Amino acid sequence: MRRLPVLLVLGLIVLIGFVFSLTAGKVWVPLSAWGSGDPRWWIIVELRLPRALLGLAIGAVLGLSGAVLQGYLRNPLADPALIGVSSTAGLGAVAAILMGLGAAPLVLFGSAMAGAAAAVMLLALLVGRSGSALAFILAGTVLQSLAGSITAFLISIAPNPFATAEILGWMMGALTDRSLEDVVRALPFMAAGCAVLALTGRSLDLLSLGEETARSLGVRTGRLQAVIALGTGLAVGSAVAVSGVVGFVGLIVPHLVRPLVGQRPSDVLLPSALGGAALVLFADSLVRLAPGAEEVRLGIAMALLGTPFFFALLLRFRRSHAWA
Amino acid sequence: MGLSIERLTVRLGQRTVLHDVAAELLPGRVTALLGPNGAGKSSLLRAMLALIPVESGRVLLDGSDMAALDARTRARRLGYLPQSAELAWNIPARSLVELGRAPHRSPFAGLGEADRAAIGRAMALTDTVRFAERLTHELSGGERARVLLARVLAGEPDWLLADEPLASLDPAHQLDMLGRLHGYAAEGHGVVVVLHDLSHAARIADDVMLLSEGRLVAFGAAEEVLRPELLEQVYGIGFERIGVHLIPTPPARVPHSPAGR
Repeated sequence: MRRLPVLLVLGLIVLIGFVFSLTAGKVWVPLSAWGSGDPRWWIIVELRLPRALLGLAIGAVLGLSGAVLQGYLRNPLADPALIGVSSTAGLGAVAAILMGLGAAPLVLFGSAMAGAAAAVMLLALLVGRSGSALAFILAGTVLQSLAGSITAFLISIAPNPFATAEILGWMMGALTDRSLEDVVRALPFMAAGCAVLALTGRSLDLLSLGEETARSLGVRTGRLQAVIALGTGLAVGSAVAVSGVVGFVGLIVPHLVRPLVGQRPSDVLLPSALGGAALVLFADSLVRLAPGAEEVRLGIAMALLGTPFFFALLLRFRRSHAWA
Repeated sequence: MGLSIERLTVRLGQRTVLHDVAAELLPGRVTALLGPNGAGKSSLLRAMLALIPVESGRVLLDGSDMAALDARTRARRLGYLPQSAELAWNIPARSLVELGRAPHRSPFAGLGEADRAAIGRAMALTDTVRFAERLTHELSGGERARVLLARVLAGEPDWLLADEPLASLDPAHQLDMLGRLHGYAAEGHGVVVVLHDLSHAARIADDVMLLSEGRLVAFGAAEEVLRPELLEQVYGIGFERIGVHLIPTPPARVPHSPAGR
């Protein structure tokens, strides 16, 4: 059993990432300043702690949902954005910003969650009770591009450049200037979504034999699909609602984890959650350290980091499968 | 008792793929499903497993309606070996065989004593213990077919329903697979198998269901159904019996038709 040591090491990396996230930034706050009367303590509690908690939670959500969706769709290229939940949650937030409600965090959050809920319901409506993964992926892709075009339309009719800038800035995804209230608001949804997604492991394993065989072994594919849509809607929807769209984590992390724990879908879930948390914690700490007055947005940093990685992955995939 | 198919009619889209099929299958025997391509063999198998909805009629297992059974209960009683084995992830052979225990395990329980024993038996029976730790994508076709059979046997189903289990196997592995299916029936289980090669059917089948265009043309003991005149009527070509073999006649070369015709 190699699984336990891997989990322990990943857990340790997450812990280090968390401490690093509390420490690192334009102002370094050494461990010695923690809890003492040091004025820098304020930076930790007010700025760094919410940010580190969100990084941890969002990373775990994206890693876990990426692993679940790759297992469910039996497609190594799947990620949470693919089923349209991120785009519709983003659309909900953009609509709120456009109506001048961007400054009210509760409204912004609620609007984004409503977007995610709409995606889940539309998915159920479009796919019906067939439980077919192919129908699911098609419906998700349609939702994603629909939400994308409506978002683009809303940006194009934004009343002033400030609104446009606010929308664009939000869409790029970041963990800056989030308060503990933001964390408290999003965390229950993320936890509930993750709990729902974590239940799917056994069914995902059986699905690796194909949909019909899985059904012959007692998997109710229609119900499984509903569970996955609901879990992703809750977890990813709330993640997007609080941090904007952070891509690539859900796509990359399961691939990083598989060489360590094997390819069985249920074995990949927990390590992916831990790996996602570690990745986002470190990436978010590093964007703070980048030179220049403005921080690089986390979503952009992730894409810059993710693309070369993804190319490397494709090259390796091509070599091992010889489909070139 | 046994598996009884009562006046089964199945439609897929606009097409009626099974008309009014009825038969009584008995455990301890190998029943071969035969017929030309598109006769409805796979559909019949899938309807028996309640994987596709039936238009009318029903399938009874020891008197209880299969469609009304809970999916897990059904999965414990009927094992399905599908035609094309999709293996999405490259997992060790033993992990694959473990999947067959799913209907017996509560959703979050690990493998119990009975599970381990059943997995061990299934792997011993299929001669797959040697490569238990090897990854499935690295196995040869014959090895993979045996691992997939072990996956079904690990579930200890009362009935084994196999859809063309010999496809893509070489002659030696075909005979090996036939022997293992026959062995499972000899232990008292029911075995239903879709076959294309009539000689294979003649070799292992106790009973034969002969299908044509969704209708059951004949059902009975193998030696009664596997008669050249009946087969000719269904397949549209002549057959000659030589020992256990049924050879298509004329045995001359396949006529060579120009491309594009």
